[in-house]
Amino acid sequence: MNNIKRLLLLPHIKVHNANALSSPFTIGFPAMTAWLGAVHALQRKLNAQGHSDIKFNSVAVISHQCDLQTHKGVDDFVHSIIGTGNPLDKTGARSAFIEEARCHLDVSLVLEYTGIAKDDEQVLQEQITHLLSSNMKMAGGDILTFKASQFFKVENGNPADLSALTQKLMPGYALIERRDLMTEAMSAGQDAMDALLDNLVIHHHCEKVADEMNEEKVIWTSKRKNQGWLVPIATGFHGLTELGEAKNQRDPNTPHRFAESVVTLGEFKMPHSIKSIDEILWRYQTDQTNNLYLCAQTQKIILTEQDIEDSYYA
Amino acid sequence: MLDTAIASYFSERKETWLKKNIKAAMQEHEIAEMEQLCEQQFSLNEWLPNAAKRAGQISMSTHPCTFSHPSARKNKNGYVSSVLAEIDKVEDGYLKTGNVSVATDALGNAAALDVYKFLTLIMEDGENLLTHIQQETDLAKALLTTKTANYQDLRSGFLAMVEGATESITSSKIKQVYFPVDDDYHQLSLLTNSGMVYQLRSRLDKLRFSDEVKERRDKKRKNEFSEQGFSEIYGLTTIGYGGTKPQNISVLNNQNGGKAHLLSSLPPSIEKRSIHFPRSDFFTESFKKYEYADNFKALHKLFQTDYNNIKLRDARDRNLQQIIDLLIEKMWSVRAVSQAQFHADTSSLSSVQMTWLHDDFADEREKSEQWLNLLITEISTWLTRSYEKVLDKKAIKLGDAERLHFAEVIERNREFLK
Repeated sequence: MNNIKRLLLLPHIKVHNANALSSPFTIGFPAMTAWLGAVHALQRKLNAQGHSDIKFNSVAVISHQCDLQTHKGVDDFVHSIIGTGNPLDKTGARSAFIEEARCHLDVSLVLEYTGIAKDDEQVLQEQITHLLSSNMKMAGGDILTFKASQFFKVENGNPADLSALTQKLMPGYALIERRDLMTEAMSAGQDAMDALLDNLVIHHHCEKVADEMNEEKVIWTSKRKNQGWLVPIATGFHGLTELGEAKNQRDPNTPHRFAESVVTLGEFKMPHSIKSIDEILWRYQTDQTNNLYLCAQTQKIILTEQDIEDSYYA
Repeated sequence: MLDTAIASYFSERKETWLKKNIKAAMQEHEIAEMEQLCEQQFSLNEWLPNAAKRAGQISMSTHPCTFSHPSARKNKNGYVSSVLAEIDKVEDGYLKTGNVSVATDALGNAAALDVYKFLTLIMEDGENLLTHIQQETDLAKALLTTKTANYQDLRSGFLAMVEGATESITSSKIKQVYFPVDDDYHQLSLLTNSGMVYQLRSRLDKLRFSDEVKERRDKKRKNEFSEQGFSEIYGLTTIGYGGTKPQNISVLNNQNGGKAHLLSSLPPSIEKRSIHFPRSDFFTESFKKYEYADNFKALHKLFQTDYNNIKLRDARDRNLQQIIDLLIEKMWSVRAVSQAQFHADTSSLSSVQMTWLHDDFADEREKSEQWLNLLITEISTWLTRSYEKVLDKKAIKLGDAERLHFAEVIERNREFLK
């Protein structure tokens, strides 16, 4: 097993008008599928330019800034989307449309790669710069600016290697998967929606406590169920119908099916405290028995209290 | 004998019909005529065959294509397939169809909505009428046996509402994505489970507006005791489907006025609004006690235990790291406002902290490490002092072992303090 990872950093890509409607339930940061999709598109372009061995196997996404284009009136509790109704239809009327939410972003991507020889690094750097500044889209938005890509080697268990890379990601927040919290809540009996909401709300809870004078005091405390900046994230798709052919499909030669977004919990975490690069990397994963098309974390490192205890007594 | 739900369905329909058609200026015999006409129209013999004919104009669907685009349904190849997904529950940690039980939606010609309502009436046994018709129960047989139409014709007419299409049709107005599978791709037409969208809205509205929650929120405001707690959620965004014509999207959409709620998936941002560039000392000016109190209390508990194992050490490290995480986040926030807020004439910030926090010194920070060594000592002192402040009289005297441990955790974050 090779324990050296070769990584390519695409730092500070500024994206204008990215798609902020990551699923029918969430708004804000674009879906994980959008980031893996962009990297996959980049790989295909490099493959087509003669670098047929290059593969981007997994991806980390770090948000430095994300400005959502929504509106909140003075007394409003909820936000509303600042939408545009373009283009007008043939009679000049505003066309029927579903509101589209947009955001402006500053993100860094870390790509795990194979198939780039040391000697080719400089050529590739130039080619990537060229591709990103031509007409490539990212999460549906336009790329405005970006910094030059950089190559890194990270040996598993070598903190100096790791921090040389993660320092470049600061300040920023890496998105990691926290499906473990959802699964835990679901096996304790909650349905998927309650499992999600329970982790997003602030719980207020009341207690009677006797003070030093033995008088009863009422104390309200407020907290979230779990620590960390937890958010719902769209991480893939769920096939609803059998694979087959459909009329009006974009490409008649690819198997088609109807599908929906799947949403789970994620956490935004500053990368300085990660212990292994795998904590922030995501890769494509399909589960054909359950009809799932996913972006999932390559390795789950978060240990529960029980895991820690078990490993100690093992 | 009709099921009570069916009976009341018809009496309601008749009442609305009469209200609409009888004008005040009408003569008595005209009114009587109208009443007779009404009875006739809503008699099973007449209404059922008419309704059965119209049933096909509406399709029941868990994922109406109109949520992707209002005009997605009809195209040159016919109507987009109406997806009625039935999927088992899996405890896999995903919010997806099957893992939440929700209502089935319907879409189609709004003029046939009465038929949809009729078929979804809940009978005395708790099943809806449609299920009865599908399963050919006695109730369904009795209802659909009339003088004016054939039983089988009526039945198949009504079942057109849930009929799956014989061929699969998607639309260019539906987002179609490629997903890599092995060395090839699958193409996915993305739809929305509207039952789930409105189930989410209903749960969020209950959190926000239900009477129990209002009462408990009020108790909290007055600091009164409440047996039960409550929950709050922030950062919701409202989205509208179908504009002024929510009925064109789906039945559920129409019932909800076309408004659904979205949860926020925004990352944290380097906070600029509530942060101040320190005048004399970062540690005393930039933190509030409650921000780290819980972590120090947890540490205190760990210090007091007299045994030592990996679990304990791990918990200790985690709490310390969380305090350092907070420190690093603060550091970035302060740096973000340094250009705008630093005033040389009123500042008495030490040169170490100045090098650390002001943007102008970014290069300086790289060049030498002397300031960093001094800073690390300051952080270590701050940790001890804050622990004593949080625990007050309960604080135990920290020994060399604890101090060394503090230093070790800080040292691990050294590169990130630059």
